[in-house]
Amino acid sequence: MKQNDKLFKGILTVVSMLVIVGYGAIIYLSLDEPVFFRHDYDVEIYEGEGTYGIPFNLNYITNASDEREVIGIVFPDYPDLYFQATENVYEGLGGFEWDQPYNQVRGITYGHYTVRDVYLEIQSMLEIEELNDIVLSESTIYFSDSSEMTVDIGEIRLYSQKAEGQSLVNPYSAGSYDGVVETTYTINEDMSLSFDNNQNNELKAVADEILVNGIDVTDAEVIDMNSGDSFSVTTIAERTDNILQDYELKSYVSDITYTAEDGTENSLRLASLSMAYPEFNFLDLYRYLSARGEL
Amino acid sequence: MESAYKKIFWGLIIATFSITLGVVTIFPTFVGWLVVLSGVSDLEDQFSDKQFSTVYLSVGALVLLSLAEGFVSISRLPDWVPALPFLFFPVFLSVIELTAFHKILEASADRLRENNHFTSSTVYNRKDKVYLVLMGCSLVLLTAALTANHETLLFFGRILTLIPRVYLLTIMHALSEENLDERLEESVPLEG
Repeated sequence: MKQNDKLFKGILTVVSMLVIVGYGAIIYLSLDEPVFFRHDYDVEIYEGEGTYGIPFNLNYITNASDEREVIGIVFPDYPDLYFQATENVYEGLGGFEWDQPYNQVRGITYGHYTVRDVYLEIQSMLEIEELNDIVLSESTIYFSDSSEMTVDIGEIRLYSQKAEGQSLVNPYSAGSYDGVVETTYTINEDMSLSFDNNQNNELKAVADEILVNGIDVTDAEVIDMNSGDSFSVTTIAERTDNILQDYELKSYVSDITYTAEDGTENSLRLASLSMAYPEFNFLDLYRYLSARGEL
Repeated sequence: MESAYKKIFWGLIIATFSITLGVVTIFPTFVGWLVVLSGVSDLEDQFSDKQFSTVYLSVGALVLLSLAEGFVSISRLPDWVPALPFLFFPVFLSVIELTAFHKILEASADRLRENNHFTSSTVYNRKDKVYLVLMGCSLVLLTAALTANHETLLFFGRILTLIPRVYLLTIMHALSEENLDERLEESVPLEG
């Protein structure tokens, strides 16, 4: 029947056009090489048998079909600094786990892209003084297919735990995708926390809005606390129209001063004070990659 | 001729629902297409129609491609083979399938018409049209889903490809019960 043949040819034409457009779109969207987000992190280092850092992760975007994974990272400016790097980590253990199945899917897929996590842990024989205040930026990334790339990952600032920092224990963070991160700190000595303008400005640099125990930091008065008490700091990051800014990954620490029971003024370091992890989606990743000039 | 349609029906059943026992696939997809090819071969002898060379080639291609697909699923694509050209592989398979079965349905309806089964001929022409529409929709959705690499769309795309396949099974079953070669003398032609 001629009508059916017309329909058949019409279907073949439409599908052929869609396949051609599909190939074109995929070739256009494909990345030549992985794109690392810009990171802006404060990373704490501490001394044990060697010098270690609190594990942290770097993130990058790659094609969803990319089966490579990161197996090593070196910072050319600091060749003596050794990092364990892997994408193969069982997050539930909160540490490195090398026995994951080989074909485990890495990262989270958004259309033709995946956002991958590279878990890093510093293990160095250098003295802690040699590492303190180092800023890591340019890095050489090694992949499982023997390829490598040199990339600017942003700024990773190493800092050592100051003695005064021992006044805080058990920082606990609960982040969400709507830009809100609440971090709870427990103190182990009696103190009075006060938030003057200088401290407010330092905290304000971290996020658009900061709440201390649920009260805006600019309205927070002196908080008297006893050893064992907790207080929470909530950072609220608002989305902007600038995708480059929204997708910058940040984790800060901030110093505030407190008055101890004996009247002396000390500094208190608020660790893990961070902006929320951005909520990724394919269109925003496309906008981000376009803005970075990667497409 | 009825046995040829029966072969095609059972071949389609095997190709659609690869039968497995535990982890071992007893009847992989290409075996199903081989059975379909055998049925098509029987039909080709009886139809001696030019269209059937297209059908025979199409089903032959489905045998080879599903065999290759089976090997790749076991051993993975070698690293030196780029994955991009194979992205729309399921679409290519479906287009070949559409070509083969549209031609079979068209030739079957023509044969019914030649033998004065005008009502049945019209019915199968209509079924061919429904099959084309169903396959067309599933192909468009599958192509869009593969382009967007969208999991939900892909899920529905794959589900939608099952609908024309099941519809085709009912048509092949019905054809296997028709006596296409019985010539009716006093049928009245119907418009269609």
